[in-house]
Amino acid sequence: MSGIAFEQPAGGFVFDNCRRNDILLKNNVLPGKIHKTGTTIAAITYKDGVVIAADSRCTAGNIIFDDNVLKIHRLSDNIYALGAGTSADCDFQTRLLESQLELLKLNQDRQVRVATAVRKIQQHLFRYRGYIGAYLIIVGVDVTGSHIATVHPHGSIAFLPFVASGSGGYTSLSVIEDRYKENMTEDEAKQLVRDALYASTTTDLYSGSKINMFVLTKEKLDKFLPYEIVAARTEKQADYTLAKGTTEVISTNVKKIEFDIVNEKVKATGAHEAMELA
Amino acid sequence: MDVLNPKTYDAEEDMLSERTNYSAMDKLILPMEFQQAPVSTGTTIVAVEFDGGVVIGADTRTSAGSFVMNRFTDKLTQLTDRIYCLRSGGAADTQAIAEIVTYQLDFLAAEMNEPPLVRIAANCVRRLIYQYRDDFVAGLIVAGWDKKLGGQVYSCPLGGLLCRQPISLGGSGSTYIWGYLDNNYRPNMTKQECYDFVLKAVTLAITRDGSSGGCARLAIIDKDGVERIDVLGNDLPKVYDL
Repeated sequence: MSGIAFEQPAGGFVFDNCRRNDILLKNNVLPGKIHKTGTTIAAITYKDGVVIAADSRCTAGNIIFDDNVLKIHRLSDNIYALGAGTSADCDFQTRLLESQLELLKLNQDRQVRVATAVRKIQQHLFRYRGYIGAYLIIVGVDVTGSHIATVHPHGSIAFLPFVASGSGGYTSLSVIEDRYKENMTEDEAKQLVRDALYASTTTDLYSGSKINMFVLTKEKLDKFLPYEIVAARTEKQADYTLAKGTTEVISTNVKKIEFDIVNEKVKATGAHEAMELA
Repeated sequence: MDVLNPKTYDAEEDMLSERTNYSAMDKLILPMEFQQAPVSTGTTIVAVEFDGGVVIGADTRTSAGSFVMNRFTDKLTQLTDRIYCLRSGGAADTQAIAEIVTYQLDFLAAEMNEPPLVRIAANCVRRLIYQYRDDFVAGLIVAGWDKKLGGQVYSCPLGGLLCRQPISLGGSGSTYIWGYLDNNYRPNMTKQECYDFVLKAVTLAITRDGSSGGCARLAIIDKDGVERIDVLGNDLPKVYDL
C-alpha cells in the first residue's frame, strides 16, 4: 500500500521551459510582443441574478484596432465569462473551457455549476504559472444560486458580490463601491453597471466605443448588444470641400521636356491557361 | 538547486510581503501597464492549541502590490471536517496547495475509513512545499483536532519544514506580534482565553502591518465541530491609535 494516497503524478510540474527561456534570453532570442487590448469589465449580483457588462474597444498601441469586440464569452447556457488581459488568451481559454463544460454537462446530465468552471480554469492557469495572461471574471446562475468569481493568471480565485477588472477596472470599481447594496432591483443594477462602465469608457483611453450588457437570471438571459454607445461619432460640423477658384492663380509657365528612348524591352505576359470548369 | 550548498531557512526571506522576482522573460512579454504585482495574501495568521482543540485566526486582506484585491478573503481553508489550514504567501500557490491536499486527505479518509490525523494533513502540505520549494511562495499553518492527540498546531513555513508548536504565527504581519506573544502567552489557557488572545493578536497586527487588514476571521475547532466567527472591522477590540 506504499503511499498510494501520496503518489504525485509522474513529472508533476515541469519547469524545464523556464530554464530554456533564460538561456534563450542570454543568447538574445527575444519573445514576440503581446498586444494588450485594454478593457473594462464589470459584474454585480442583484436580487434575481447577475448583471455583467464590458466595453468593446480593442487597441494596438494608440490605434483603435477594432471598435466592436465582444468581450463576453459564453461558457455554458447559465455561465458566462468576461475577459481582460491578453485577448488571444481570453478568447481561447474560454473557448477551451466552453467545450470542456459542454462535455461535462452531457456526461453528468445536469446543468454545469459556476464553481466547476472556476475550478477547472484555475487549475489550468496555475499549471502555466501566470504566462497565460487571462484576467477572467466568471459569472453564472446555477442550482446553488448566483455567483461571480475573479480568476487571475497565476491561478488565484475569489468569489465576490461585485467585481471589475481591466485597465478601466479601478474606475468602475470606485463607482460600484459607492452605490452597491445587496438585493438591488434589476433596473437599479443595470443603471449602476451602466454608470460604472460609462465612467471607465470616458476616462480610460483604452476602453470605450460601446457598452455591452448581459442580464443573467435563473429564468432568462437578456442580451443588450449594445446597451449604450458611448461618445458616438457625430455628423461633420461643416463641409470641408473647397470650391474651384479658392486658390488664386498668379502666373502660369509651360515648358516642354525633351526626352530620348534609351532602351526598349518587349516581354510576353504569362499566358495563363483558361480555367477548367467542370 | 545547489546540492552542496542547500538553501537554509532565512528569517529575512520570510518577509512575504516582498514582490516575487519575475524572470526577465516576463518583463519583455508583458507591457508595463500589465506588470501587476503577484496577488499575495500578505497576511497575519495565528493558531493556538488548548486542551481539547485549537483556536485559529487570520485577517481578511488579499493585496496585489498596493491594490487590495479582496477585503474579505477567507484564509481559513477547510482540509477535512476537523482540520483547517491558514494560508499565507502567494494566493495562487496556497489555493492550489489547499485544493491538492484536500483531495489527498479525502482519498486517504476513504482508504483508512476514519478521519485523517492532523499530523498527516500537515505532512501532505509540507511535502508539497518542500518538493516545489524553489517555485512556491507559501507558508501554511495546519491546525485541527483528531482523536489520537487532540488539538494540534503544525507550522509549514517557506522551505518545507514541519514543526509542531503549541502556538504558531505566520505571514508578514506576524513580525509585529511576536513580542505580544512572548509577553502574553501562557501554557494551559482555556478556550475563551485562547480566543481573546488570537483576536487581540490579529487586531494588533492589522493595526501595524500594511499588508494585513479588513476584518478578523476566527474558528474554534474541537471534537464537537468547527465554530466560525467573523469579527467585522468595527467590532475588533480597541487598540489605542497613535
